[in-house]
Amino acid sequence: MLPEAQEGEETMVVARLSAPATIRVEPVGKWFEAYAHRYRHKKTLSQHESVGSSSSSEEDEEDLRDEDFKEDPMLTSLDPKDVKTQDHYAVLGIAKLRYRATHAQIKQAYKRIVLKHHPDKRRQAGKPVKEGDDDYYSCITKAYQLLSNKVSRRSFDSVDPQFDDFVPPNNSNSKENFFEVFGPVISSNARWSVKKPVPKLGTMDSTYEEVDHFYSFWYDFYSWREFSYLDEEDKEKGEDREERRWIEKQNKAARQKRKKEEVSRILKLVDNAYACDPRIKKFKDDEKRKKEEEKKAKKDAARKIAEEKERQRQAELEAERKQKEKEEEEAKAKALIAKKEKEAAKKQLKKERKRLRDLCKTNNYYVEGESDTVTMMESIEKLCNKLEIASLQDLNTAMAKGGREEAKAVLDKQIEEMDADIRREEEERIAAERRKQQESVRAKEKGGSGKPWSPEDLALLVKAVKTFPAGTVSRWEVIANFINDHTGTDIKRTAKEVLNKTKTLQKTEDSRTLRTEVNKAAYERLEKSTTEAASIKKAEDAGISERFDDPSVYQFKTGPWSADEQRCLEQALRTYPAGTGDRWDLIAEAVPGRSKKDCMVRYKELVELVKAKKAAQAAAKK
Amino acid sequence: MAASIGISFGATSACLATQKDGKADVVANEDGQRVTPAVVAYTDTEMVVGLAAKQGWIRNAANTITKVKQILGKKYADPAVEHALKISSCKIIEKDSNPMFAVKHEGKTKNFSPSYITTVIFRKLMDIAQSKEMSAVKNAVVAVPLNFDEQQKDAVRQAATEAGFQVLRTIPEPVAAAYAHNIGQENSKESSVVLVYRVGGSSIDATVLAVSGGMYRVLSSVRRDHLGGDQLNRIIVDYFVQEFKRKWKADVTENTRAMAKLHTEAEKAKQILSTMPKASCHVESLHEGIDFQCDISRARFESIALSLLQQCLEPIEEAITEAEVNKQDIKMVVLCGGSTKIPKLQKLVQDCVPHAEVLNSVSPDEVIAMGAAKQAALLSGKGEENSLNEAIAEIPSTARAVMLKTVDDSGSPVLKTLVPAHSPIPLHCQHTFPVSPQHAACCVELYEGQQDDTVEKAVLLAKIVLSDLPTDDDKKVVSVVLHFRREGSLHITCTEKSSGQADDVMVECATE
Repeated sequence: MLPEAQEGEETMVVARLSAPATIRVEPVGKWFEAYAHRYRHKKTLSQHESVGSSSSSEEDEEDLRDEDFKEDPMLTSLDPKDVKTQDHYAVLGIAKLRYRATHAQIKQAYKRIVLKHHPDKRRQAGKPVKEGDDDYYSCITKAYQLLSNKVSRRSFDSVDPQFDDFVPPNNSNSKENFFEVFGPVISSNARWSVKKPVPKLGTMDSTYEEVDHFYSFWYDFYSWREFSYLDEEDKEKGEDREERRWIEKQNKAARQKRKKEEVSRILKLVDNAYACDPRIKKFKDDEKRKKEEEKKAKKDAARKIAEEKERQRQAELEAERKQKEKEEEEAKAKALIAKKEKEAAKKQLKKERKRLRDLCKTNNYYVEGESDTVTMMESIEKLCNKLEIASLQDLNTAMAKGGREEAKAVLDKQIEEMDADIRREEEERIAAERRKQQESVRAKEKGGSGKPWSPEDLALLVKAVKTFPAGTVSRWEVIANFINDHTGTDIKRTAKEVLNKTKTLQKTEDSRTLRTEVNKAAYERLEKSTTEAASIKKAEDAGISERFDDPSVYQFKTGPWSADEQRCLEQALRTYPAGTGDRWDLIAEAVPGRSKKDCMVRYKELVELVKAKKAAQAAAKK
Repeated sequence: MAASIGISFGATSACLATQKDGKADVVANEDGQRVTPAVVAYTDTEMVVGLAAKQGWIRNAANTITKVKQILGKKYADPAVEHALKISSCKIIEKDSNPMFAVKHEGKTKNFSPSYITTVIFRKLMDIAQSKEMSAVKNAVVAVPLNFDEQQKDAVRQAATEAGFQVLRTIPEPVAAAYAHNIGQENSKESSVVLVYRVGGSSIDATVLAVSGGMYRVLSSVRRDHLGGDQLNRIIVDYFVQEFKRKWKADVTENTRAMAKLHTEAEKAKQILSTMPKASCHVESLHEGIDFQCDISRARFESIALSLLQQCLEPIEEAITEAEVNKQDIKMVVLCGGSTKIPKLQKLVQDCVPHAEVLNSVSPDEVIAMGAAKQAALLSGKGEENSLNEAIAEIPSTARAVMLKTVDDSGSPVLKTLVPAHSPIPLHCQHTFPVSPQHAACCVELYEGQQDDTVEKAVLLAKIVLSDLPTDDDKKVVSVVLHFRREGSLHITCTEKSSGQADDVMVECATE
């Protein structure tokens, strides 16, 4: 129970409420969800929460406020016949809210109007009421009927008489006052959009994305505006099906035409806005500038890189040049040093030599007598030339250290060593020369095959060549094997050697004679190798043929000279050169089986032969 | 239409609930169990989740992953991970400073991140949901512990999303439990203080919630880790070990397999003892071929577990102290977590808060999932709005209660609270009060102050005098409409209904 007011008390505010505190709540439960929903949608609490009412249904719809409700003063003078042309919102007293009015608000407004203007109420109040549909009240019911139905309300909204279809022209004024001119128009046209929310025109500071979104939205504008409300005739008025269809067709055509106009109007609006929009211009300029800047930046970067490269190249070149110079200098310095060293060494050498000479001179060359002095001087000169600086130095020090005798001993030793060296060198030189000569001779002899061919081997070769004629499988290997098997020597011959020899044999001019000679030699050897008996028999045969001429010749052959005899003769001739006493006797003795005379004759023959040969050679040369 | 479900994902078990026809109900898994163990086991051939994995734990302990929630979203260096290392049966290694489970699977050693394992568990829940009526399960609300930070919440959210759920929101577990009991939801004028007491497998928490204006506020929350159902199991295991020793003079503590078997049996026994006065345990060939047979009575269990149970109550005392409320103010206690089914524990809680009503009409191990399901149903179909709503956690409210002076029959003044403190604003409310028929004028005096303040202590805000009231009407009522504006000011309108006498004042709010 509320207390009774005391006398003199009046309504007053005594204190201020403490400031609201922030609390942390857990996101659970329907109350939280309701709060969050309100918070998100910026809605206020409904007035329906009261003590005792536990209704949890939330009435988020806004109530009709008094300031929004204003009765139309012309309401009572409305004619129900012109219901089509009346402003239904004005009739219900919500001309201010118009299309923004919620369904609940329309309902509330209607209720308020009805309370006052219902015929029954008026009759009660004693006001005049017309009969039936003629009363203006039917306008109210019609208005409510129309506005409470979503479809019909939309068709009325579409042709809202208060809507301005004005499209700002594309002129300098619109450009200068773009936001002032287009802002309201755009926002008023936004109400037609099916898609919500509709992007706002924005301000000069809008980002590119915002502006882009704005225009892409408006170019794709999809309007719900339709013009069925303006239909010339009501379809339902048609008397029969055909007429109704005709009316419908007419209406449809008219609607489509209007719709088309509407679409082009919106398009024009957006076009104009786009053309006048200073932001578009700004963005374009920005874009251009950016591109130019980028280009410039790119160019700069390229130039920088090129410069950098050039600089690097220069630096490299410079470095290279420096390096070269340095190297050259170093080389020069080195050469100089080397030269100096060399000179120094030379000087040193000279100095040492001089020292030696002086040492020797002061010591009178460690000898007595003029002749010795000369030889000694020579030796010392030689020493000076021969010895290395180090050994010279050693020598000098050694000599300087000791007394005269010791010095002499050292010097003598040194000289001896030097002489020995010189001799050895000489010998080596000679030996080398000799070796060289021998080698050249041997090389001449060899002529391809390394091993000498003895006559026996030659004979064997000839025989083998004949035994294995051309066409034998691997003929030369077979020949080589044959020779190797049958030869008396240890020399092993290869197929190649054999082939070369055969070829040279065939090539030589007197190969035939050679072969015959070989044959002959072979024959002789065969004869020689026969038993003594055979030789005796031969001798008898010979004796028989030569007995008449000279019995002494019995012992001596007069026939042709065998190779052995020839060789013996030649040997003897060499052993006993001309001028030796009893030369021919000695020769004859050396050649078995030949007399002195025989030898002499043979010698003469040989001389003749040699002479003839030489002459022939000379002739051939000529 | 997509069903909306609530998920409670605990360290030891997970529960799934959905709301149908305005009633939340748990979705049982394919074994018919209403709670699914949050255990993942890897074997040479396959990966098993849930009960099968838990049952295989004895044989395959090294490759069985348990208590993934404890280390989910935590770094390797975190102390919680350190503790998990000690108790986990499978190997936990460090990789990029995050913990990873190393298990043998298909003959190879593989590393799985906690978030992957969580995803696997959520996938299992998804399977359960899909196998039961719901074809297109999508919208889900996941309950997470109150102390989860954004990172951990994100980890849970991500795991659930990967499993195919569309996570509408994560809500704190204690709040979900309170919401499951519909506390403060019937009437937004209702205002109370609620204690939510949860005993989980390995943690305990007590949370004091204030419910006013239909909103939940957390006044305090105390959490004890490494205390809970597992410790109770261990006590029973210890008892079994003692019994075995007494009977057979053999120690089974070294036998890990025997211990594992005992552990399973102990858990079973504990559950049985919540409803039955006696539980018997039987393990064949426990140790060296000896069969183990042991009975344990509820009285025995209570006596050996008493000290631990009392320890479990500590958080309640702490939370109440921290919340700075009187024990008498706590009107309700919501129990959650399977271990709160233990009758002794319930009794202890009741003794602890004697004036409160202990709510256990909803099974404690399902209550969180139920609350989440209710929330999911509420949110379903609201789309992207939900994620935004989660951000609106801080709202303005009245700092103090607004009261009206009335007189009782004896004529002494009494303050009646119209708007309690911490009511979210904007607020709009209407109260009607009768006026004595003989009074021609009445005075509406509004005070501001703490709840239950006397007229002397409270601060007078405004006086509204309605005069010239008809004295012949014996049903005079005055309606007082209070409208707190968003910015904090208060608009008061008083109207006498029959005569239409009205007056209004505007009380500005003090600036801070």
